[in-house]
Parts: sequence; C-alpha cells; structure tokens
Amino acid sequence: MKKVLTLWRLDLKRTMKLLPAMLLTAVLLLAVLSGIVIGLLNTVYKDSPAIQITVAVVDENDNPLTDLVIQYIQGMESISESCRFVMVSNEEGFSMLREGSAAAALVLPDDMVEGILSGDNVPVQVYFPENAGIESALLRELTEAGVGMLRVAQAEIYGIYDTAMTYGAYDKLSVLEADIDRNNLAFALDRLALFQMREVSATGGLNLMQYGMASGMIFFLLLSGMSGYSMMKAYPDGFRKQIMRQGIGIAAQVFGKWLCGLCGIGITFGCFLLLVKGILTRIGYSAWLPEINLRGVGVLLAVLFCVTSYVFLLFQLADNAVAAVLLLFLLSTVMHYFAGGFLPSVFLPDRIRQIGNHLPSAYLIEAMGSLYTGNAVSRTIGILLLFTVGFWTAAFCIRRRAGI
Amino acid sequence: MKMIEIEDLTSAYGKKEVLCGVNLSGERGECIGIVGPNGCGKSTLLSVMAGVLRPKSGSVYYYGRDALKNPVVFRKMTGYVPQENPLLEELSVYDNLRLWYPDKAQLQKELEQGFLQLLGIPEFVKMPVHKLSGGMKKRVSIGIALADEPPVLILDEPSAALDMACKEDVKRYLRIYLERKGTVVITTHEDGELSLCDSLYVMKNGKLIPVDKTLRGEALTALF
Repeated sequence: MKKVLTLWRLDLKRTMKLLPAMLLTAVLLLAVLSGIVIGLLNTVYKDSPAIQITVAVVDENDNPLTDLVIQYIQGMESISESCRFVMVSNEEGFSMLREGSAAAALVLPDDMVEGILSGDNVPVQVYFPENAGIESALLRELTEAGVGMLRVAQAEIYGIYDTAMTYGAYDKLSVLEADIDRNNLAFALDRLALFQMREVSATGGLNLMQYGMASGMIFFLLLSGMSGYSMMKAYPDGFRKQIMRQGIGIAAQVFGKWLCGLCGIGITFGCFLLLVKGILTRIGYSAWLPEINLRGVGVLLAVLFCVTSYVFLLFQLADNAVAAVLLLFLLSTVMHYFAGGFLPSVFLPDRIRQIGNHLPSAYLIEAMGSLYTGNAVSRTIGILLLFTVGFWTAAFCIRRRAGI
Repeated sequence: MKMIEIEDLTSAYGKKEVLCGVNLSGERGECIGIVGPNGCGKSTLLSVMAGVLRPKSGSVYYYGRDALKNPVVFRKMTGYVPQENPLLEELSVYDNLRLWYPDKAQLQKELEQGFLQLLGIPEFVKMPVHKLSGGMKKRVSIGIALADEPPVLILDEPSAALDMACKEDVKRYLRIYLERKGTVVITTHEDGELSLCDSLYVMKNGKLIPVDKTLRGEALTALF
C-alpha cells in the first residue's frame, strides 16, 4: 500500500509539472471558443425572418363562409408572418401531426361561422402532437392567448349590448362600442401583458445567457481534457513492468491515472472559472456566473468526475496522442451538438433530440444550469455518477485487456 | 541449492508458441548469457523469470522457492532491467528512485556509499530524467533493479543503443555485482558482456540450447 501511495504521490507531482502546458492549451482553447461564441451571438441577434409554423386546417363541410374566414385570418399580417394554414382532410391533418410536418391541427366544427354570428360558439378543436417541439409549444401559447383575448372581447360585446338594451341606450350602441374599443386598446389589451402569462423558453428554466454559459462551460471542460493526454495515458512499458512486479495492480494504476486527470482538469477548470469571473466582473457582467455554494461544489464535483472519466476512457481507447485528441474533439463536439449544447435541443430534429437527451452532455449541461436556478438535481447527479462508474469500469477493462 | 531452477517453461502469445519447454539453472555468482535472433523469445523468457508475464506451464524456482505459486518471491529474489526505459521522464532521478526506495534514509545511504554511488548516480540525481543521456538512464534503471538488493539480476539487452563508454560502465557494474556473489541472467549481442558469462545459451525454436561460452561473432550467429 505504501508503494501505491508513493506512486500516486509521484504521479500527482508529475501532473503538476505538466500543468502549465495544459493551462496554456486551455487559454488557446478559450480564445477559440470565445470567437465561436461571439460569432454565434452575432448570428442569433441579427434580424432574421421568424419561423413559419405550419397549421393543418380540417374543414370537411366545405363551407364557403368558413373558407372566407380562414383566408381573412391567414391574410392578417401578424398571422401570415408566423403561421401558414394548409387546408386538408381529417386524415391528412392527423397524418401531418404524426409526421411532424404540422405543429397543430385545427378541426373546424360544422357551421362554425353561423355559430359565431348566433353566439353559440361551437369550439374549434385544436390538436397538438405528443412530445411537441418548440413550434407546437409556441403555437399552443399563442392559441391560449388568442382564446383569452376572444373570450374577453366576446364577453364585452354581449355585455355592452345587454347593458345598452337594459338602459334603453340602443341608439348609442356604436358610440359605446367605439369607446370600449379605444379603452381596450389603450389599457386592457396590452399585448405584452397577455403574452407574458407564461414564458415559453427553448432553454428550460434558464435564460439564453445562462444556458449559453452552462453549455459553454461544459464544452470547455470536455475539450480541456485534450491537453491532459500525457497525464492520463498508460505508463511507459518499462515502468509498467516494474510496478507490476511490485504488486501494484491494474486497478491502482488506473485509479492513479484517473486521479491525475481529475486534478489536471479540475485545476484547469478552476483557473478558467476565475479568469472568466475576472473578465466578466471587469466588464460589469458578473451576474453571468452562478454563485457557487456548498451544494454547487457538490454539483461541480459530480460534473468533474463524469467528464474526467469520459476523457479518461477515450484516452484508453486511443493508441497515441493525436488519435486521442482527435477522438475527444470529434466525439465531444458531436455529443454536445446532439445534447443541444450549440442549439437548444427543441430546435433539433426529433431523432437527434431523442438520442441527445440521453447523452452525458445533456445531463452535464442540466447540472451546470442548476447552479443558476438552484433547482434540485439529485437525479441528474445520480446519473452523472452512474456515467462516471460506467466510464471508469470500461477504461479499467480496456487497460486490463491491453495488459496494463 | 541452485539459485535458479526453471523447468519445462512454456509461453504463448495467442496461438503462437514462444517458449516451448525451456529449462535453465544457475548458481550463486554465475553469469548466464542468452543469445538469439530478434523475436526468438529471449525477452519473453526474461519477463517470465522476472514475474512480469505469467507462463502457460512449467515451474520457476529461486533458491528452492516456487515463484509462480508465490509472486512475492519474484520481487524479493530478482531485480529486472527491461529493455525499455522504466522511468517517469518528467520527474527527477531522485523522485524516480523514491518509488523503489521508500525509505528515505536507505536511499541516502545507497547514494552515499551503496550501489547507487558505484553507478555514479549522485552526479545527476537532481536532474529531470528527460535531460539524461541513454547511458545515465540505463544506470538509473540498474539502480532501480537493485533497490531490494536481490540475489538475481535479470537484464534484457542492457547495452542496446549505448555508446562504447557506457557499455564499459555497464560491464564494470555487472562485474562488481558478480563479485558480490550475485547471479546474472543477461540477453545480449555484445562481446564485452558475453565475456562475463560463465554459461551461454542460444534460444532457438522456443528452447534454450547450451553452447560453448567462448563462441563469438559468425561462429555464434551460425547457431541461430
């Protein structure tokens, strides 16, 4: 045991000697990532056309009045900018929902227009797909807001009519309606107030900046392992033979190497956080970094364990430094994309989103994001620790098979 | 009792048989040389003798103790100098030695008046390994192998890629070790080291064949 501890101590000392090179690489990495982030921000915030949501409209009665209403609604500027109505049959409408080519299906009732005119108001059935993406979620919110507005408007129309009749002011009905309209526009129908009923966010409980920071920190963490190859690679053959003779087994060797990786990546990440905090404080954006309390330290440790084990496993799979770095870069980039690290996953195709939700990056981002929200993430932490054990065991098996 | 007794040792890499019934014995103070073409199994034999590789079958005894049954025997009875450099390049010589000499006082004593001093290691003990020459690294490697003062020293081509002066140094250290009644098993192609040998074997078809220890050059390679 004494020899094992001495080996770990010496290996950690070796890690500290390799650390300046790792930090230098991390600074270069940071510069490259910053460039990418600035580019992305420019892309996100420049004027771009709004997304067009396709809505399947099912009108099986072929009523010309209904067609007129739909055309009228479609022609409204606020609708035509964001929605495209497609008139289809009932079967086609649901088929479009299943395929994901429509964000919603509106099934119009019989005599819809007549119902509106008579005050019967037979409701339109709105169907949204299961596991709806951002488009459907957005449309659902818009619909709910629209229904709210219509309900208020209709109540007011009937209220004014009944009041005018009760007080014998039927001849002043048009004046009353004009006044109410003016007041509604001025006070009651503040569009923002209505649309703020619930915030629709592609980034969950985080705002865009927080999500970007959490995702960026994880991506940096994954890639910072690239310069840790010399810390985590297997011992040289001659050295390995000698320590095997001393009874230092594979598990002790693998754990020692993992520990070195953990220290290397942990210290690099710590320096990165300090540097970013320094920069953000200087430019007045210190709120962009989360406050890290004791719970936060626990979350960060789970994240570090998982990332180190992941990097460690990839390095055991690769034969040399170039292969190791390429493997880490490519896999991490793809995994991060799938998990919604570059673009929130609601914007990704369904298949990619489904895979991405189960990748380590998704849980890592979630855990890092919880530092902002303060939400309990014990399940996420548990999954990260499971990943850690899985990666570590796989790395151990690879080394045992290879003969260290 | 013989210091080394190996019987019917067999070893294989997958389906390829490398050692096919190797027998070898050696006394205290004896130097045993093993020669043979590259890839014939010399290093495999030494790895098995040093306890790095487990054989398929056979027995390895050191001074009557069964090493395959009790691997601690390998550690106590043998020192091993592999062909490859057994050092961590980023650390100093002293740090590397600390792993093999856990007792600081013992290491200091060895550096001042022990075998490490004889090897000339104190001259460069503070230097990082990556700045050492091949000869210096080999000396440290021998120093590590001798850490537990083992009675058997196993060396795998210790003079490979060393200059003439270093080769002479290695030869000198081995002579001192033999004078102290240590047993040496060495694979080599160097005439200088062969001249130290009391018995010489050629490894052929996975077996050790004893040959005349005075054979050199073409006469020896003709037997490969």
